[in-house]
Amino acid sequence: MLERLARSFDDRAGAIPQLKSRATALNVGSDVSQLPMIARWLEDEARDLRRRAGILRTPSESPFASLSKFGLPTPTATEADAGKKLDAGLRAILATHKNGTPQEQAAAVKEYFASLSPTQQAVVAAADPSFVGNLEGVPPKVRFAANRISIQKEFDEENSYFQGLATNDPAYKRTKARIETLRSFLNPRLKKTSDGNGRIVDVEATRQFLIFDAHFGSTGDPKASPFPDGRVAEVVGDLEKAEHVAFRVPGILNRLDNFNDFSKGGYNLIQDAKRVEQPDTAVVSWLGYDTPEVGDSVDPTKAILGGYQLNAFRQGISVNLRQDAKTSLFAHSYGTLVTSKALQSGLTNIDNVTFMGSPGLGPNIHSVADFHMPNTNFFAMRAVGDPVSYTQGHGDDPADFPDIKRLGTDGATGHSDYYKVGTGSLANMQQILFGDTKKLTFTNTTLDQEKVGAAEVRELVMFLHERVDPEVVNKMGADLDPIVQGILNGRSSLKDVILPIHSVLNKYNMLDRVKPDELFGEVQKLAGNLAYKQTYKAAKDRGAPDFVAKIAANTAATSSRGLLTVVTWPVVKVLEFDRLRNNTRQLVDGLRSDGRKMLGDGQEMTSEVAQDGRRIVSDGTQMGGTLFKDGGNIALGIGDTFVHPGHVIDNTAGALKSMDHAKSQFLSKGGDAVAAFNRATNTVVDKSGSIIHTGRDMGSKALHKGTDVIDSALNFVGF
Amino acid sequence: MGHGPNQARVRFVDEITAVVRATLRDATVMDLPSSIAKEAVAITAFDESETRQTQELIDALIDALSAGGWSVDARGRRETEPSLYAAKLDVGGGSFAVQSPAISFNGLVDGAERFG
Repeated sequence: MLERLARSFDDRAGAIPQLKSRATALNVGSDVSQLPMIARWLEDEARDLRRRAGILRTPSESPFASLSKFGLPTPTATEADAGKKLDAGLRAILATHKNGTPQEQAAAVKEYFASLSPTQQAVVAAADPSFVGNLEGVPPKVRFAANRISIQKEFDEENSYFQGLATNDPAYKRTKARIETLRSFLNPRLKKTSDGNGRIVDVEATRQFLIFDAHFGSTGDPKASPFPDGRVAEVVGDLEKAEHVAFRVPGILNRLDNFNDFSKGGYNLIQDAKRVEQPDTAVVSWLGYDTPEVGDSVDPTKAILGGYQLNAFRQGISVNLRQDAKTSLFAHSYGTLVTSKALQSGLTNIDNVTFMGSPGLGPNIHSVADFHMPNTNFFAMRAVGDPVSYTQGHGDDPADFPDIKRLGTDGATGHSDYYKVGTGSLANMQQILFGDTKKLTFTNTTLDQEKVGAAEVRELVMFLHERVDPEVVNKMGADLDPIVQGILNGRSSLKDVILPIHSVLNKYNMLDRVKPDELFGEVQKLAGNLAYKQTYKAAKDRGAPDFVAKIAANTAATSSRGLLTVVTWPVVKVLEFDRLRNNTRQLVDGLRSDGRKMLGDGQEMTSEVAQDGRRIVSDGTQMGGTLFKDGGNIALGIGDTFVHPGHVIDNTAGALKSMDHAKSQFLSKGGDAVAAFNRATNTVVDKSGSIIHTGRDMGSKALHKGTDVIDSALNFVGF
Repeated sequence: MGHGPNQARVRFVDEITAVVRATLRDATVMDLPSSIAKEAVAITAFDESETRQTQELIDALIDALSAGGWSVDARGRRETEPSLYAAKLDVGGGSFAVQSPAISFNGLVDGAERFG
């Protein structure tokens, strides 16, 4: 009924241009000037009615109905039984090619399916939909059908679980979103196309899923949703016939339950200026890796694995594309890091790569040349106010690469506008994909031009990264990110970040690497830089000569630094006290543990030398007397070492001297005595070396820490 | 005179501007966003026709501040970056920096409640 109503609205809207023409011809055009607005309203309402109709439909489709949606025949019962055999045949093919490349495996699978009749293809899809639907090389429409069967099954299971949830259950909201998303996968989407009369109309199109696995990936928050993130890839257009093919790679927080937010960008990408979908183009929105949550977005691990998965997907799907298809990859946010890893692990068969809103492409990529892909065009975009690009959490921002083509993004702001209709960013991507690259627009805006404070934030992050241990950088980044985002979003000012940053450093035991006065100094410098830039520009805008503008900017920097000193004095004092406590604790702990080690070594040495000494004594009292005397010296030396760490070197040197003297006494006696003596000497040298090392280490640590303690104390009281 | 945060800020800006104009008569005065905090006041003024040296300018600024009822702390003055702190009860305080022909100020409104 809703569909019928929507159609009647469309018909009414369609009649309006004709009515307007007639009114104009009758010279009453001005009396009907509202008609175009009414037409637009009718079209919008029709669209909304269709959307509501989609929501109301509770999918309940048999596997055979799913097959027929993609033109596959409905097998008979006898034919259906053959499914298991055919599935076994498919798996046998894969086993034969298990050591092949993804492309070789996909080619073998494609060949197998080509040998099957349409009915047989339908049968094997219905027999094992989750396997067939996600297997590279299977003809796309068979995968679409298989995945549709899987989606219906998943919808039924999860809907049943959802019906049992109370509305105040923590999992209610996300589960509901997931159910609605699964429902939407089974309902048609609306796409614009030209009807026979040159009008652009909305028609329903069955959604096409190349990948569907609802149980893949991690479960970010089990209370909010017991289901893992899932893997999904949707295709818009005809993949096998398309001259232009795009692969889209998303960033963090993308999951099955919010997949429609991601796929919408794909619908926008394939449309021309009139929003009609290009018939010679296909877009794959690929959510094929386990995306991080916010907490692990600074960790590259999932990107490395995702890169392998993306490369395997690209190689596998190549058997289903036209040989001459032009391919483009569009990556967003963390997805740019995934793509970088994919390119580095063998994904080189791609004509165009575009990075947008990138946090960096890995520590080893500083330019396009680092990819060694001379036949691929590389592009980058950074919208005004995109904070992810500013923080460079994973390496250099590709938008700043010296050899990249940096595209304009007019109308896009922040991190999530790149695919928005009407923006320069989307227009540029469409030109790359199916348009004319001569019509691309470029930009070279600096951070200062894009967002006040962005350059300073980037410097602050680099300052911290340079000083902490590399393995801590990633972990610390998760805590640091909200602080720097706060500055960029205007939620906090530079004066407000010293204490939070210090807390983060304390959490990761990095206070030694960034002392409070260093941190304060860096923030002060950045505040001064920011004041300088703003004032210089303002003075120039007001007609000041350059040298005057610079002087004015200098005074602004000085006065801002002066104010910062005053307003953060209490905070810095608190931090210095923290550091004093921290250093004192470390000094005491160090003395305890190193002292214990020295004690252990000394005890061992005493006992070994004493044993050897006794052996030597048995060879003769004269020698024994000398040795005991010298042995007595040695024992004393070691005993003294326990009490006075600073005397370690003196005592051991004295012990060695005694041993040398005793040794010379025995050289003329020869034999076992000498051998035993040498062993005792070696023991002393070996152990005392260790004692010296430990003592020196402890001593230098003590000196270092002690100096720090003194410095901290002096700073604290204001000297 | 009105009350409330905006009025306090307006008064603060007016007072600083008055001091600056008393020192640099024909200055272009700019009220800009502060790099320290959103709530801070940042004013920079310049007069390209000014011929006095920095030291003279500082002395003139101190005189203007004192005449305007401000307390001045110039103990931290350094030759390389001449600056001083100044504050006025119920108005605000902050840091001045001077380098001829420019003067700059960064400060905070005095929002403290007074009792008694």
